[in-house]
Amino acid sequence: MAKTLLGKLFRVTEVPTPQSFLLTDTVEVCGRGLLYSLVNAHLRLDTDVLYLTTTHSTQDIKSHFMQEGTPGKLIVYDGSKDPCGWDGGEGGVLLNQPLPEIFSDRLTSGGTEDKKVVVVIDRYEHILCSQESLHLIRGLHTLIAKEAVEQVIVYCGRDTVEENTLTALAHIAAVTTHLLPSHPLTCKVVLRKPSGKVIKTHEEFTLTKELQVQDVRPVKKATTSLPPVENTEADTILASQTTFSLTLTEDQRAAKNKLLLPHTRVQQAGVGGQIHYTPDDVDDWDDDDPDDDLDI
Amino acid sequence: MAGIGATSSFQKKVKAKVVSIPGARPSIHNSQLLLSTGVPSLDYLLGGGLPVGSILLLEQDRHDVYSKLFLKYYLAEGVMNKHMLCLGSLDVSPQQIMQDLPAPTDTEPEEEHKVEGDKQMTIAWRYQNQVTQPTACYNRFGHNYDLTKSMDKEKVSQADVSLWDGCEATEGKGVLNNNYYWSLLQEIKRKIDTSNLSTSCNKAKTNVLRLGLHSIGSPLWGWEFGRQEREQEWHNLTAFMTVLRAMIRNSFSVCLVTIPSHIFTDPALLSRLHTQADFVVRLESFQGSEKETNPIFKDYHGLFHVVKLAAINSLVPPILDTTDWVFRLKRRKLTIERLHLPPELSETVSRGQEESLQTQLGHQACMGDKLPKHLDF
Repeated sequence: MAKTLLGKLFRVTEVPTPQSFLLTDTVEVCGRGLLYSLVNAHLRLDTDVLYLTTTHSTQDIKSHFMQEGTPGKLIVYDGSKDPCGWDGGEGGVLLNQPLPEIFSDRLTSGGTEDKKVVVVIDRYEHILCSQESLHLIRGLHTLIAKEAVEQVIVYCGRDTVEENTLTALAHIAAVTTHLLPSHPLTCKVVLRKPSGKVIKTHEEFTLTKELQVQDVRPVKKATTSLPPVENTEADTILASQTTFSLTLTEDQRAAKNKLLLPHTRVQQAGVGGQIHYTPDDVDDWDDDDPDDDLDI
Repeated sequence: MAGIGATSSFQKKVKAKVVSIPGARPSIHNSQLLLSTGVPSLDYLLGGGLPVGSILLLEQDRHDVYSKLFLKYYLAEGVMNKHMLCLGSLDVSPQQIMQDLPAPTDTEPEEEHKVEGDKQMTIAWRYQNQVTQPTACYNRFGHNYDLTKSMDKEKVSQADVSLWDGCEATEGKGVLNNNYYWSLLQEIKRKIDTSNLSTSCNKAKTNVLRLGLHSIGSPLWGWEFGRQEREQEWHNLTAFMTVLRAMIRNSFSVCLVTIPSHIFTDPALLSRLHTQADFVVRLESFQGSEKETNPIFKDYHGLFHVVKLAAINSLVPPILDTTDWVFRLKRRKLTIERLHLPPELSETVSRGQEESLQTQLGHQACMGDKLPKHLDF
């Protein structure tokens, strides 16, 4: 568990903490659980989390975290109430301002001593509706570069944004996690360490009810048993030149597989089948292959 | 310059007067004034070095690991020769890049290794006279660097460096309405003007400007990378390169530009940038690609593609003796080498193609690997 990349990332034990974390999901699979799990891990480590939400209300978000007595504080910036400022912008966050300004009350006050904060951007594509993509990505970059920020977590739908936006996000993210709609859930992770090392994995995991990432293990490479190479061209050439069928129909194949050959019968009976051999005096009994150099 | 006694009409032939600039030397091919890129093996590929007034375009590897090293070498070489430096970057803060330049060393990092190679060959004696990449002839041009240590802070602070991180970008004008491209050009122009580096200025040149521009065209600069040709949205980037090229040509300066070409959606943009640059090289790192596990490449870290070489004062660029180059990051240094296939050491000699053909057809054709025209039974 500790060795796997996902385990490290979602327990925030990766050192140094990656400065930017991109988590993407699709319509088929929801990454919210993973996001909450990551935020929880930060809260447990006594890090304050600035959470910008665009769809869920403050109460809704808080309900996922409040039951635990975590040392870190969760501060929700609610962009779901009045994103465009039509209701006078009371109590909500305007989404059309640059990202660093949204969090400016916490990041520039200087009152937060040396305590670093984690910034969560819940649904990047929703902010994209009220800002130009170029401005948004620049804002995000400024946010990441800020000293008071330990990590910026961007949560984004993979299939709901333009490909360019995704490229741009992946370009600046230190960790890119793509959640895949598979069973069990799997993630494709790319981690770029500051040292220049790049780790790329594909790992499966389970998410417990307490939003813990567990049972992480690398996805076994689908045993690429090469599908029988069907050289159709050769087949047709051969078939045109023979008077018999070279292929089997499904029925024939089934019948062939069912057929019990004599030697199998003997083997199954469990008797016989051994080979007795009396060595000759000229026999070569070492492990060397006498035809080593023939390369047959 | 006549003889001392003034009796002889012979005149001593003196070399054409070349401007003496620290760290520069004339090319043996075309007398162009060359500067080292900091990586001797890259200098070799470029025909001895980077001619003053030219642009080297470096296409980054996917994760910008090795390209950043090339940039650092280039800047370190400038610091060592007390060149003027100008570094522009949006993706990484330029201060951070300058802090982490490789430290110069006096010794060739892999010296002990070389001595071994000098031994008389007893078996493969016919390779004795094989030309190796000349390491000796350029060792006084450029310095050696040790990647494990970073350069003295004092030394870096002594250098005349201007860093540009886009903080004070002003509103762009004309074709260049992108703030960043515009203000970076302004900064470069100011630097060239104040140090009298322009060729139109008659003052004797004693120094050169080394420009390093990191990750031009990345998403932070503008959205050009994602645009298609028909959208005609590239003018900021292409105009920037054109103006940059004009400025470099008309001044005593060289420029290294790195671009994240893997994120460009339209290859046409890349070819336009290729046209603008004098030298184009591309890094293809094995990180995360299937080539990482390919035994052929196990000693190397990536392929080094030489895309374009400048043809200065000539019709054709110099022709390299091989097309397959690889780069390798050793503990202390980064080198570019010829791609050599590893010796075949496996137990059975693999005849790759033949075997695969046999396995493909083996279960159908009983005649071996060749498909007969007619079957004989």
